[in-house]
Amino acid sequence: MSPEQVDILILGSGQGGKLLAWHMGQAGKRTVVVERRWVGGSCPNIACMPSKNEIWGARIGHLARRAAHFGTLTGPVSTDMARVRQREREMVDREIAFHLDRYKATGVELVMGPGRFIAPKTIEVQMNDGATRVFAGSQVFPQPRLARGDSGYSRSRRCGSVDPHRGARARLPTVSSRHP
Amino acid sequence: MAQAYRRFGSRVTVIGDDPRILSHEDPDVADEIRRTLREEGVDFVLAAARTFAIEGRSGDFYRINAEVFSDIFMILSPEETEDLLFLYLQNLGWFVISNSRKADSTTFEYLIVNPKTRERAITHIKTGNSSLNLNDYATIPQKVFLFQSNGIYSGDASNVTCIHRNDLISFLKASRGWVPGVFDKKMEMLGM
Repeated sequence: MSPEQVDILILGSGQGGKLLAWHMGQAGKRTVVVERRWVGGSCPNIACMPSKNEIWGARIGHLARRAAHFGTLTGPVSTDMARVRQREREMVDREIAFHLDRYKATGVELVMGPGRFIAPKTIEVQMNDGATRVFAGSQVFPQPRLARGDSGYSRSRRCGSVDPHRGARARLPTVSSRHP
Repeated sequence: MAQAYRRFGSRVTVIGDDPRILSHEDPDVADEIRRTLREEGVDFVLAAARTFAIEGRSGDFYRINAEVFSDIFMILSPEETEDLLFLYLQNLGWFVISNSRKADSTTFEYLIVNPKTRERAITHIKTGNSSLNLNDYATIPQKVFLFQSNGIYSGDASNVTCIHRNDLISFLKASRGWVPGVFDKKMEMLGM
């Protein structure tokens, strides 16, 4: 199979991959991103953002239970985990839609399936729909790590906040200012 | 996530290798966070010795088959472990010949004598991941006391007594207050 030639070939649609791809696409380069499973990487799908979404939900429950302490009287408070999960899933769906929209707007092709190198600068993708595609890039970026949401931020300043939500918020990616 | 799931109403236990949570944070900050979480009902098993089987992958599912317990020996230094055994043996009537104590010895930590039975013995202590083989001590003329903090002994020899971890732990708990402060402090860290 002769490879499809592109300018920029990126393996992994996570934080580094997608931002690089969108910039390159906007600059007019023919760009392909190969993604095994998570559109936008682990951060918006299963890691940073869903966890913060749930943590925020838990905080609301905590505040509701303690509301009387602040002078607001509530009835009995209980948790509906189905609703917690639904809210989190809706956020993830919005994230995915946002990502797909960015791919469309920047003209970058997102190819869904696990990719592996079969030659220098050449990646074969077993598409999730069963087909196989092969890409060769003038420039290839295997999992670029321009920004990682889940490492390198862990040391507290001496007067560091002990509020886990604020701590977590500081680690959210800078790609979007929207709150989870 | 521990706090969040506790607040949703789950029973939550945090398991960690380290004696502290958030080990790269300042200890006072980490201790305060742990105290706060404890108050909310989050349980901790720290300095965890364990048998683990973890299956699954992030985003799909996780299953953790685990037998875990906080292990004081994970956070005692080798010298502190020697001291503990030292105190334990003296409490059993064995006197330590302090001059025989060497900083680094391949065969024994110190000589001990029992004035009542007039016996002499040596002790050997290991705190790492290795095991102690009793056969290695079979040719030694005196009695031998062995202690391996992970509890793994092999072989057989009639002159050797293996000291069980649980005996030292029971001794430590019963001796709270008169043993050196470091033991009290470390027991406190693990909530013993």
